[in-house]
Amino acid sequence: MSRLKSLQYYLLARLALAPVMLWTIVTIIFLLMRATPGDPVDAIVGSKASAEIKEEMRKSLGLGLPLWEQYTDYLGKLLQFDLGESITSSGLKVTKIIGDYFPATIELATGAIIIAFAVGITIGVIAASKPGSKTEGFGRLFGVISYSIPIFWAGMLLQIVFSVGLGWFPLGGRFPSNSPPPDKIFGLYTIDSLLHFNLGQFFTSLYYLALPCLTLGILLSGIFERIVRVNLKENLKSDYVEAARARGIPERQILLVHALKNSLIPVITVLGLTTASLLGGAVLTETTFSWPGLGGRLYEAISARDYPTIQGIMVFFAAIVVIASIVIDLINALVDPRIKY
Amino acid sequence: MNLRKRSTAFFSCLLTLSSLTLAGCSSGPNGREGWITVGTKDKPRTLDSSDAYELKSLGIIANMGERLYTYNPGSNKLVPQLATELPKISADGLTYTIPIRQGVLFHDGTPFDAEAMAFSLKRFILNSGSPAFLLSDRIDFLRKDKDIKTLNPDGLKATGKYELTIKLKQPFAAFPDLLAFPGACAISPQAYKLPVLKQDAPPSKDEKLKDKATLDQEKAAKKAAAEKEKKEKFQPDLFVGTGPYKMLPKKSDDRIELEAFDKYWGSKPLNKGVIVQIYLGSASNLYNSFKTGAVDVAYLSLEPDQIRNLQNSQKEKGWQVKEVEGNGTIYMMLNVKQKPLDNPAVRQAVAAVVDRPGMNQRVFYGQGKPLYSLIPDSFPQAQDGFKSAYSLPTGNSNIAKAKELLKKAGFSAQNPARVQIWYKSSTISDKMIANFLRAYSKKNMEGILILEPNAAEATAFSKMLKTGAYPVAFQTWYPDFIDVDTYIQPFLECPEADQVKPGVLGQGCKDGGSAEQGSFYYDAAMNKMITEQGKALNPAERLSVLQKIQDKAVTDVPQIPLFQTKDFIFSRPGITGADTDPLQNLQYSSIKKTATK
Repeated sequence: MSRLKSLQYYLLARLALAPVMLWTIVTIIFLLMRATPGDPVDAIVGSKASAEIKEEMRKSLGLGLPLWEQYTDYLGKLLQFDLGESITSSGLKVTKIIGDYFPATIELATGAIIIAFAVGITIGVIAASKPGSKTEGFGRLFGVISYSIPIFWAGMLLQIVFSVGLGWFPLGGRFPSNSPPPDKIFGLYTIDSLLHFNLGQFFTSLYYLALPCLTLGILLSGIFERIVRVNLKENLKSDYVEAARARGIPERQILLVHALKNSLIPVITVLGLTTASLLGGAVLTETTFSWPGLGGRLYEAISARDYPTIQGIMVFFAAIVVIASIVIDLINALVDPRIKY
Repeated sequence: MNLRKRSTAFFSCLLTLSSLTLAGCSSGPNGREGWITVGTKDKPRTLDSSDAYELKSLGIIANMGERLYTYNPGSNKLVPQLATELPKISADGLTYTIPIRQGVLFHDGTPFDAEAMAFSLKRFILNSGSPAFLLSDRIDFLRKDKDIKTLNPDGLKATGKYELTIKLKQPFAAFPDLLAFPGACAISPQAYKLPVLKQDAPPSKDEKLKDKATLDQEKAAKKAAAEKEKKEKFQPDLFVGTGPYKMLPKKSDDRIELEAFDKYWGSKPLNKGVIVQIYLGSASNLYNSFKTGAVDVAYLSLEPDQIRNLQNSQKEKGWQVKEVEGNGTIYMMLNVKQKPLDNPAVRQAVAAVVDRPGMNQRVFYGQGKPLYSLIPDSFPQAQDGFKSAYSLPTGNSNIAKAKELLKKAGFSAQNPARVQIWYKSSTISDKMIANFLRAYSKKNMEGILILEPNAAEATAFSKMLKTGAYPVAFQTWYPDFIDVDTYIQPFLECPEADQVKPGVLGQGCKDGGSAEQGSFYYDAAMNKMITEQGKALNPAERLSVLQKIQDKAVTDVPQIPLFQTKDFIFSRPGITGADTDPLQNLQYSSIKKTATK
């Protein structure tokens, strides 16, 4: 079977399995939510309303139905891409919540991944270029520390130093309170402001993005640093590098042009795996920086036991991770001819 | 281009971009002249007046909408808002006639009249949102007989262009105060719909003959119709009222923008608009944003240590801290059905161990206000029964009395009374109070009373509380309306007692307010007195009953009042007029920004 043919079969199999994976995730989330103690009706009305009122509300929210009926009802709607309606904010559709909040998360995640790439690859290259030196030791240490530091702690530290202490960056939020944000096109402030030819708004958006992106980006950069450092060190010992050196090519060019290119292939694989960490990290970063994204909204929904919103956002996140992993597999196959499926 | 040149070009670009970014930032945002930024950490769940039930939602609605009656800051006295005077009450206490204000416009230009007010109250009741019971339990409009609901149009109707008539199911002395609930505000009939009353009819004979497929089809159709109706019922992101501010279209999810309404009938706001900046649950972000000047006013809610820090640096930094005595209460519920608290002497002993001044210093850094009455002292009916019965004249704990009560009840160091105290894990002050009580009891009670703090996650806590799982639980109570009834009836009334065996009532509550609150207290005489005070339209007669209720609560101790809530409003230099009404809603219209050096 040709390579292209086997790749096609592999992709078809992955695409066919994707709904099964999503269904498994949906079922686990659904059951976990119901197993968790706490009642959404109590979260809404507290202890003031009478038992009768609460029962009526429970009924109207569909929580009075047997569990299997709630489940089949939910799955039926999901098949029609209906994620339901928030039970704490009556009348608000979950798809609208995702549409409203996701652009902020995308903007944060994109900025963070750019920083993670830039910082991780730079430190990885520098560390790998001087094996056994203190520089490599620093690279190693950076990788371990950045990967293991809790995001909220790092975020608060950066807030205290750069916002409260030095006053260089805003403390949180997406745009200054007393200034209207760019008119919505995509909901991505940086892109929307550029499309409106408003450079002031564009730079203000970047200014507000800086600290949250830096927090999430630096913490993710450790993964890339480690991959690049290890692979680059291996590649620098390989025959083709020796041959390049023998041809008199400058060491810097060998490092950055020849060896680095090959060392970046595993980074693509890791990028797929990082999607989940990125979204998980976004929940904590958004909460720390009061960033109005989907992660912060998920946290809020969990606190209020807003089942449809939690399920909707989690399914959405799961779908992103599943799609990302398929796309990464595809890119890997296209980039690296050695990979066979 | 060689590698060195490429690197130089790359870093030059990076430097230019960084410089441009900083330049963009240093030029600052295009601030809106005359607008005020109010920072809060609490995001409103909804802005639909028929569904909003928490301070974080009602606080914003109260500034955009108006009710028939309201309160002025610093006073519990009811004053007309969309009514022109207090209601005329019929001799039987059942019919309220309310004259309505003329010349008022909704934000969408629709004229306001008695029909519009009736529409708003009907929607509040028929939507069956979270606070609907406040009015539906009292107004004789929506009648329920088992599962059958009917409407009584005479219970709530416009009896003139500017006159509204309301009929009650039972006389209720605090009814006008209920009409001051922020959600009971006027909303434009052009912007909202009135739901159609629907109910499950009993199955007919024909229905029993239908096959399963037809029944399933009908069930699905009913469900779809119910969902469609529900979607149309609530408007969480819309508000069209008559208040001094109108809401601008939402551009970002972490802020709500309110612009002064130019056709407002009353006094114009002292600012052009208010931006409510929401710090999504982060008290530290709100605290630091206030310190760095990102918000003009910070309200709801900072932690006690943050409040203390801002108070301490008040003079140096020039900002203002306003203490507002709230009508909220913090109290302990004692489950009368659990051992050893089923013994009144143990409950009395716990009341005597509580050292409010000590807790105030250690937990609230002196910012709290000790409470010795079920009713906050902002009400003239409040009496400090818990102070005279269980505390020293200084207000401190009466350890000797606590020991004596426990010894008489048969407890000793060898046979101590063990009591678990439960609190919500997210409420830091409750955790600190519980730990203070444990340490204080350990130090002073010589092992006769052992208090054991335990935490539960907030939603699980609320669910478990009413199952009777907690011997002692901390609760914070914010009133829905400003009347003593809201501090009495939900805690002490229980219409249905436990049955030990057929025909024999037990000591505890089976179903009712006290069971919902976690004390499970039941007393037939108390129930009778609560009903009496609710119906009493004569203030002197009502006061006499209220005194008896409070005396009995002090003896029976189903709950122990601890503190009266206090709120803090922080304003940056140059900001004046930040104040709250008795329902703790910040009044935006009186906030003014003046130029500072």
